[in-house]
Amino acid sequence: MPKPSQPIPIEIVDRARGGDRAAHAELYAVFGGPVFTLARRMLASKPLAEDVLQETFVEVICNIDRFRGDAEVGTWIKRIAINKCLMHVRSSWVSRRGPEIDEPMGEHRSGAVDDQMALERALDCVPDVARAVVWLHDVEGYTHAEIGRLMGRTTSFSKSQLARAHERLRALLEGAEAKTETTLCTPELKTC
Amino acid sequence: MHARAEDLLRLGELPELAPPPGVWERVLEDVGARAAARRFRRRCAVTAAVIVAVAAVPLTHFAMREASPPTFSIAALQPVHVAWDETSYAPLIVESARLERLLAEMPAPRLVVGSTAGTIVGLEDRIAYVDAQLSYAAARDLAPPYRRALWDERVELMNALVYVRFAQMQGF
Repeated sequence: MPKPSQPIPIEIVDRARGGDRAAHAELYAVFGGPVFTLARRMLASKPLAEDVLQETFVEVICNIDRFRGDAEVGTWIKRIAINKCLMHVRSSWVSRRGPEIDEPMGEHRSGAVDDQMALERALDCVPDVARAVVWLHDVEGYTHAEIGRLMGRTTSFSKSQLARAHERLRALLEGAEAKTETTLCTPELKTC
Repeated sequence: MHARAEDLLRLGELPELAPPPGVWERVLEDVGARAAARRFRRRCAVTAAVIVAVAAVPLTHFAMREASPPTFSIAALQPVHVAWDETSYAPLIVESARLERLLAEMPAPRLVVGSTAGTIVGLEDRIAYVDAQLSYAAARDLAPPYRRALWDERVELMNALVYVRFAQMQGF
């Protein structure tokens, strides 16, 4: 089960269903950040994450009347975003995309960056599918069976991708080999 | 650099990122454009439905007429005697209207013979030509005898057309 999202008063959802622009803006204010973070982490690309954020909220506004309230509205919104991210992951364009610089990376910053930035950089270096799996499992709380279904694959596929992602992250975060790789790693060019 | 990689493998603790500026504005633009496109499609659908409905009325009427057996008799075809009057052509207009109604009430033929169709088209063309002359006469306020002659010719042509259509209806 995905982990519960931030609760939001039902009145806002009801107003959003009625086409209230202020309520739509409120949904964006609450869930825009989590959606952008999810997309940025899963896709390792700021422009793609922006696209997902935009497409997600267009769909949310256009289809909020179909939201039945079975789950938290945030879970529903994130599910839309995840599906959009997975569409990008599945598209061959993502794996063939060219260089793209989100933020400065490389050896010259290694002394100053904190652990979280190191983890972020390492995550960007994990292959697309494995990165999506590790994020869905470790952060969003999806089970292997759920991830397998979302990706149209098996449970064991999800397990093997997660193991692969963890192994890659550990390797990148420790040891001399990881240090060399992190230095040389440019996720945009998939050199790691 | 990192004491223990395992300690660092806490992805959930990564900070949340703020949405870049301008995305919400693009969302609103996109939603507005989709709403406009939806309204346009709805208007097109309504227009198409109205066109279909308007077209269906005469078609239905036509089909109902076709389904009913012909009820015409030769008596209906007898021309009404129109008194000759050099200046008044009102009775001719009435007779012309009667023949129009008669023609409109005739059921459409199921089979059309080529030569009959040619005759009908020829008569219809001549009636259209007379109608154009009548319009011209009305516009120029031409002398009544001239108009009477035109109405006379129209009634004759309409009579001929009614006879041809009647013969066609009877299977000749």
